[in-house]
Amino acid sequence: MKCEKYLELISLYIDRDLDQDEVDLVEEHLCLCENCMIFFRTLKKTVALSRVYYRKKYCRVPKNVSERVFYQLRVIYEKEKF
Amino acid sequence: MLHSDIINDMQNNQPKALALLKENELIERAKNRDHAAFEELVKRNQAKIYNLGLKLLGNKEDAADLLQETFINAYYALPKFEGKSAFSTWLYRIATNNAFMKMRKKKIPLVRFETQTSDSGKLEFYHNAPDWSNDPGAHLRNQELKLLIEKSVDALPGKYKTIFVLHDIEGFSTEEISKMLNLSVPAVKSRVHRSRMFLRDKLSSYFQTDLKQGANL
Repeated sequence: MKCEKYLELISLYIDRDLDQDEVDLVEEHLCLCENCMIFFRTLKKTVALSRVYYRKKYCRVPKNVSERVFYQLRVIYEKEKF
Repeated sequence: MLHSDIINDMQNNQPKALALLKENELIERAKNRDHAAFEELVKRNQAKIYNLGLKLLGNKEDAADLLQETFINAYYALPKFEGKSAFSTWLYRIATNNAFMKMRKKKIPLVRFETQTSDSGKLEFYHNAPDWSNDPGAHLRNQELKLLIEKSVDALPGKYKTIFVLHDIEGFSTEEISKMLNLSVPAVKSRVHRSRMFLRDKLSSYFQTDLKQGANL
């Protein structure tokens, strides 16, 4: 199997979303192919960096934004009365 | 009634016991138009939806609109909620549909990549890309890298960005995303993969340039 066929499998390998036969296949290839090993390491690092970056950016809902939602809901409740 | 009166009235009349109820109890009450129960569901889930909006739409104004539209849609649709998925998953489904509508209005491409992407056969690039996984600059104290991650995620077509955010940031499974977006599981997996490749290419190009510059010093 050519390297390009392994790329999506490597992505699924990172997610532990492969059956044992596929895991064996990927691991065997990674041991033999330095380029795919680099691809695996850098893809894994890309996912990890993105995940940590966005999770650290998590922010509270500003008070005025939240109040606007509740205000709009109250308007709907009032309309429903009629 | 003034806006501030409505807010005060709302805050004073919320029975505190609602905060102790389980989500499914609140849902049942809210389905019967118990407004306080619905508002408790809003309180519990609003931060998730607001943050999803920030990631998908990239600015506070659109995230605030998305939050409001999602909960108004949810209020009207709640009687039809059957509980086949988690309530938050159902909300994400409404929110992502609203986000797609906003992206369409802003002419943001949903499925087409603006630039040539890696899975169209640029195998050469994989095989020439540097191994930057242990590079001293590959950490989040590197401001340039943080900006690059944000810019690259923003450059993903809307549907790819959504799938990447739901899968790799929010931690939804491919099965959950397939139900949320009415896509097959293989299609979700393929889009997660393409998004990752796109981002990895951007980061690899950055480190490749960085390494070359370092070598020239």
